Parts: sequence; structure tokens; C-alpha cells
Amino acid sequence: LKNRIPLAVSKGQRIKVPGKSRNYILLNIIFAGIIICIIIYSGIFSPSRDNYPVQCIHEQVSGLSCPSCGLSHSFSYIIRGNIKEAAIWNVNGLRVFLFFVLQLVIRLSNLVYLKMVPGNTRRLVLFDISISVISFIIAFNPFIRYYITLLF
Amino acid sequence: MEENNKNTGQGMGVAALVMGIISFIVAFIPCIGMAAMFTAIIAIVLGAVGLSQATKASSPRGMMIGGLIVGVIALLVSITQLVLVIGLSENASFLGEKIEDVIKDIEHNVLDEIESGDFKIIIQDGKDKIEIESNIRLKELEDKLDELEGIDEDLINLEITIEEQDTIGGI
Repeated sequence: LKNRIPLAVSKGQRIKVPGKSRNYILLNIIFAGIIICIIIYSGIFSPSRDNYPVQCIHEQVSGLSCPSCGLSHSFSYIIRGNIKEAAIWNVNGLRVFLFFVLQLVIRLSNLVYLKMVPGNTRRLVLFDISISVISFIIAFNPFIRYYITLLF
Repeated sequence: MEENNKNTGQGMGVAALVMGIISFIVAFIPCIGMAAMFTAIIAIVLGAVGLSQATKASSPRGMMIGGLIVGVIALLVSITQLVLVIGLSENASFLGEKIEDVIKDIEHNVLDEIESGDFKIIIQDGKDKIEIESNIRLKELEDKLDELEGIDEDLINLEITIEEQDTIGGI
């Protein structure tokens, strides 16, 4: 294993990245981009002007509000540092936002790590999946519970 | 040549996995969960195409299988959300009628209770004081009160005449 994976890379050294690592790097770049887009979306659209393009389909279909109503407003307030107002718009806003922030941190740190230590990504992928699944369950718990309540 | 074979369908696999994961996350957000079925279908199609290409070229298939599985789960969650929300909307209208019925029932019950309950009416004019205590029905109590107040028959007739005149005037 030591012969196959260089532990550190000196400046200017060219390394052939294995196919699996290349795909994983690509996945990290794409997801980091998507999360940055979500943050930019929350920053561009203002809660005071209320000009959000995405409407709640759940409310339009059933006429009833759902646990994720006001999430965009909540994100916008979090971006602007108004946590209190964000919690008023959606109680789950902060935990979902933190999930995305954590994901962004994981993606960026993965990219940095893979640039520094390229090679077999198996362990890293397993660690990534575990952390992502656990954080998803914690952050989306109210939505998952709502879905289960609807089911049964 | 071998490198090319190894990479066959990998792009599709990455795209399938990305679409699948996005669909999976979106599917659990009630506001936009139903929209996830479109991205989930794209993920499934990309995964299936990538998987067939990778199988033909004997290249790694992990990403395509992952994308397919996540896409299928997201599609199922999304479709059930749609069905459940439509059901909820039907139930919601039914629920509205039911709530209305319950309110009417309560109103009737309260009125019945008032009508059949014990009453104590005190009429006081200076030193004169009349107390009516009764456990009879409200209608009977009202009649008794009318009797005590001594409503004049002529007064009732007068009211009827006035009403009739108003009607004629209105025409």
C-alpha cells in the first residue's frame, strides 16, 4: 500500500489520480457548487421583499401548510445573521442550514485532503457516507417524521 | 484502450449519483418533495444507461448502482408524498365539513342545555322585585315572562299593521 499511495506531494509533482478518486473529487466539486448556489440563493432573495420564486407545492395541492414552509425565508434570515427571525419563519431552518454548511465543510476538506494525499478513497468515502447519513437524519428529522406520520 | 474501457459509463454514473442524492434530499422536504420525482427519473435513466454501458465494457459499476438505488428510493418517497398530500387535501375538505358539524352539534347541545336548565330571573324596579325561579324549559319560561309583563294584545296587532304597511310601501 505504501508503494502505491504517495503520502505527500511535492510542488510541481504530477500524480495520476485513480478513476475512483477522480469521480469522488468530481462529486465533491458538484455538491460544493450546489451548496454554494443555495447560499447565494438565500442571499439574493430578500425576506423583506418576499420575492422567492419557489412556492410550497404541498400548500398549493392540499391547502395546508407543511413543516418546511418558510424555509427560504429562514435561510435568508440566517445568512443575514437574524437567527431569532429565522426561527420564527421556520423552527427547523437552522438545523437544515447547518446540515448544508457541514456538507460544504466536508466537501471542501475532502477536496483539500485528496489534493494533499491522493490515492485510495475507500475509507474516506465510508467516513463521508456515515457522517452525511447521520447528519441528514438529525437535520431532516422533523420532515422524515412528518412523512412517516402521513404514511401511517 | 484499457483506460477508456475502465471509464466507460463513469460520467453517467457520477451524473446519476448526483441527481439521485439531490432527489433524495429534496424528496424529504414536504414543500418541494413532489418535484423530486423528475430528478429521480433522470437519475434512474442515467444510472440504467451507465450501468448497461459499464457492464458491456466490464468497467466499475458502483456509482451507477448507487445512483439507481438512491434514485428509486427518492422516486418512491416523492410519489408517496404526492399521493399522501392529495389524500390529505381530500381529507382536509372532509375535515372542514366534519369540524362544521361538530360546531353545530356543540351549538345545539349548548342551546338545549340552556333551554332545559334551571333559571332564576330577577326583575327589579326600585323597591319592587320579582324573582322567577324555574327548572322548566326556556320556552315556557319566556311565555311566563310575557304573561308577567302583560303584553297587550292590541300592541301585537299594532305591530302587525305597521309591518303590513311597510310591506305595501316597499312595493
